[in-house]
This record gives sequence, structure tokens and C-alpha cells, in this order.
Amino acid sequence: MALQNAKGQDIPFIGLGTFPFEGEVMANMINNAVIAGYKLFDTADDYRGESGIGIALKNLPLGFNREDLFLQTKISDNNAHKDDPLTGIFFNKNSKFMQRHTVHEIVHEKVCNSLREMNIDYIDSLLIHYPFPDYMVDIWEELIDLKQRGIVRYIGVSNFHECHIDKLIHSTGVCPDINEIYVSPIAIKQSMVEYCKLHDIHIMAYSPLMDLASRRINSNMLQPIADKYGKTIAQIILRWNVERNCIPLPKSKNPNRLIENYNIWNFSLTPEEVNNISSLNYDYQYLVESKICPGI
Amino acid sequence: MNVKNIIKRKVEAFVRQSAWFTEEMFPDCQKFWRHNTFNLDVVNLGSTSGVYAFNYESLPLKGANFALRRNPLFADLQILKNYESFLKPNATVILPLCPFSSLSGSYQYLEDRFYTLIYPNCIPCFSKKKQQQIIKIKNNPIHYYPLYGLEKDIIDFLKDKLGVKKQDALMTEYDMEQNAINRMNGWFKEFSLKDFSMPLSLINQDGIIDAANYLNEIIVFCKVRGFRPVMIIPPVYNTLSAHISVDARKILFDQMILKIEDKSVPFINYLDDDEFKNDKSLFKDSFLLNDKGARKFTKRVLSDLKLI
Repeated sequence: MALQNAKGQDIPFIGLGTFPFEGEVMANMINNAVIAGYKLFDTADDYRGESGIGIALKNLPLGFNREDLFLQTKISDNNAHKDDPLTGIFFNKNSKFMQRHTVHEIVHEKVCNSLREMNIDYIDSLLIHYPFPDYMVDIWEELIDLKQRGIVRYIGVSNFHECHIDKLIHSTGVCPDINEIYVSPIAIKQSMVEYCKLHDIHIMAYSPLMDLASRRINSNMLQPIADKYGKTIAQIILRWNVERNCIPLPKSKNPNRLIENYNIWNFSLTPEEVNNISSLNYDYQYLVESKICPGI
Repeated sequence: MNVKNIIKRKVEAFVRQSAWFTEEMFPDCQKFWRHNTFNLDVVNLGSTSGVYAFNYESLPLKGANFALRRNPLFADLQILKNYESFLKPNATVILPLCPFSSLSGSYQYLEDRFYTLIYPNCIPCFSKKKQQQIIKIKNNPIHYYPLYGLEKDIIDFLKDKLGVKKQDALMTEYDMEQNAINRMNGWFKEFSLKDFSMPLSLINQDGIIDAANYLNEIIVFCKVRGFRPVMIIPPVYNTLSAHISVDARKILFDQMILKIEDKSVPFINYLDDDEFKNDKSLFKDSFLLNDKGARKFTKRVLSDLKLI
């Protein structure tokens, strides 16, 4: 399943989150996911998983090739792992490294690394991982250039608020194709959903099932809906995302769970059910964004 | 769980309560490590006086005291940048200023504890190696605990367990006067001051300019994000306020406030507030409020700001 935006571009309706899997574990997961029907795989340059995707691409199941997949990575500040030796180096005004090198050089190096690690010659989607306060516009200009040169098909952002996207549009005139954010029945981000619809930006929802796994979502309300359609609560939440035009990126390395999460296309929720699920919202915040990107 | 692990956990809990851990290595850090309340209505930043001036318990709004002892204005900005996600839109940000905050405006050095509080990009001369070292101490304090504090910590621990821990006694008027003199002497020494009737040294003039710049930056940061900044000076006991002369006030407060670009930001000076300055029972010493004083002062500020 893929959806088209006004620009006629196609992006799969569901994807697979891949953090923190690495190496052979990642490769096996990708291959199982491809067989299950997934095409979109989400990673980042600091997740340490890109080389695992590269291994998977060398051994894709029969009948599949790279062009069938939609690979998404990000430009990060190397903060995903606590032991990353490059923490504090990138997109930090105070670091000597940033005083010596241009954003162009850094983005170029990061993109080259991603291409090499994943063993590919183009990236389907490249996002700015966080709205790095002093650098987001410079990075965005580099992404626009990469798209124009055909190295990247779609460019977008992640964890951006409306004001950050406004800043990019105001500075460059170019609107992101994608904004990857945390969306959940307890954090529905309605204003962002409406903003993105207005600007024809695809929302991707990372960790869409996390709040279910951690029992933050009250499943009593969802169980009758799940029973009605003969689905699991996880499938109901994923479908709720799809109904709201959010592309869910659930994560699982369990082959059965991969199939279950993908199997959400043979039913749809009524608008009333979508609203009922949305009513669980209390603006919960999972990540303290400003602790990961100060000044956000 | 075997006996060895039980003992290890008990000892570790003891070390985490020790003066070395809570007062020397990581003063005021625990509240940031544990903080998980979102949609805050009001927060205060600030340094030592801010730590002791605010207590939001039992109030009909969500508040948090984000002040840290020995915290330069530069760090206030970094704390706000790192913890703004906890604030709700239109939240009030209180910026408490100490009498001598303006002269310390150029301080940029952040103590090791900041490696556990804020993102690397916010720490000047951030070092990954240093960060790993500090995080190790935070996570495994038992490996680093200095034995010199053991005897005192055991006594304090036992007193606490037996409920015989001595409460801070109220200071006498004489003690308050001596404390005020000591405080003033300390500040005069710290900033190489002799007399406020003389022109300020170049380095202190720079301090005031830098302090105003950081305050301007904090105010802009707040305004851009829809927060409401308010500058205040907490009250001090009359023995201390008597030592802060008219000339000193002109230099320490007026010069800095004049440099604040956004004149719409409220500035409330409680330094000589009658409700506080003559009531010794509200003070820990001539400079700092005690818990009772903090609760009363917090209510007063929030009431003045029409938040309660």
C-alpha cells in the first residue's frame, strides 16, 4: 500500500522502525519484514543499524530488489547511543569541529557514510533528526541540494514543531515532504496533523505501539473495537494512525509480530471510532525533546 | 537476591545520601534527574537564593524550582533551554537575581554536575571523556566515595534514622548581623570591591554587560516560545539589606535593569519587603529564606503575578 501526495509522489503507508537493531539481527529482521510486505525502513546515521540494512540488501529474498524498498535515514548529532564518542561534536556552536567545517562538508560526509553503510546509491528519504537551533536552515539547504541532484528522493524533518517548519519554508521556500514525530492515542498532536495536511507534509509516527507496550494506554476502550474487527489492539492503533493520514513505523524483530502489524489493510475504522480513540489524548510526552535538542 | 547484593544496595543508598554525593558532587541535581512533571504553570531559575526562595508544594498550580546553587546566569539560560519541554504554553518563568548577580554575569564555567543535567552542546569545552567520568560517578558512587566523610555521614545517617536530627535553630540578631557582614565581605572579596562610591573596575563593568546580555537572551527565548518572563529580587533580612547602600543598589540593580531591552518584562524588587525583612523566623540566615519563608514568599510572588 502506498499513498500519493499532491506532488504525485508515493510513500508506503506503513514502515518499520529499526532502532536499536544492528548487524545480522537487523538484516534478518529486514528480510522477514520484506517477506511480510514492508517496504519502508526507517533508520538514522547514528543508530548503528545502517550496515545491517546493507547486509540485508545484499541478500534480499528472491523476487525483491533494492528499488522495491523505501529507505529512510536521518542527519543526526550522534546522540542515539550514550557511548557514542562523537557526542557533542556535530551541530554544536561551541565545538571546535563545527568552527573548522561547514555544514556542507558534514552533511556530505554523513550522506556518503549512509550510502556506503547501506550499500546503496540513492536514499529514498533523508530527514533532519532534530531542529538543531543554529543549523537547521543550513542543513535544510543541503538536503534541498541533494534532492535536486537526485541523491535523495524525498527530504524531510523529524521532531520538528510548526514554528521550525515555518522557519525552513520562510528561509528557503521549500516545504518538507515528511515530518517524523511521536504520535499516540495519548498524544494525538492534532495541531501538527492539521498543519501537515495544510502543507501537504506526510506525518510518520515513530514508536506508535510504545504506549501500549508500556501500558500507558487504557486498553479497555480499545478492546471492543478490536473485538468488532477481530484484530488486536496494536492493529487498531496502527489503523487509527493510517485513518489520520499518519504513517506508522512500528518496531518488531518477531516475524509473527511483523506480519500482525502489517496486516491492517482489510478493515477500516469509522470516523466515530477514530474520534473515540483520539479522545484518550492527554498530551502525554514521551521524549523530553528539549533535553535532546536544547532550545527546541 | 543474595546477601552480598542486599548489602551492596544498602551501602549504595547510604552513599547516595552522603554529603559528598548530595552537597559536593551533585548539589541540587537530584530534582532534575527525577523530574517528570509536564505542563508546568510556573518555574523559577536562579542561583543559591533562588534555591531557597521557592517552594511550590501545596499550591494550586504546577510549579518547579529549577534553581541551582552557585549557578551563573549563563547556566540559567542552558537549564531553560534543556527543560523548556516541561513547561506549558504561557508558563511563567521567574528569574530571581541575587544582589551580586550582575557582577558575576561573565561566569561561564559550569561545574562537573552539569554533565548530568544538560546536553553536551550547552557545556563550553565539553569533553566526552569528562562526561563518561562524571556519569560513572553518578551511576556507581560507591566506587568513588571518599572515606574522609564516612564518620560524619554515619552519624548523620543514624541521627536521621533515629529522628534526632537537629533542626536549623533560628539565628540571634547578633548572628544575623555577623552573617550579613560575612556575606558582604565574601562578595567584596569575590569581586575585588572596596567601595561602591568609586567607579567599577573594567572587569565588573563587563560583568554587568554580560549579565544583562544573558538576561536579554533568556527573555527573548521566553518570549519567542510564548513564556512569560519575570525578574525578581528575593528578600533578605534587614541586617543584610542595611549593608547594601544606595550607591550599591544603583550599580548592582539599576545599571543592569537599564540594559534590559524589553521594558515590558516585570521587575519586582522584594529586597526590602516589609513582610519579610524584619521576620527572622522566615530566614535561614541573613541572605537565604528557610522553608517557611520560601513557602510564604512563593505564595506572595504568585499572588502578585496573579497566578493564584
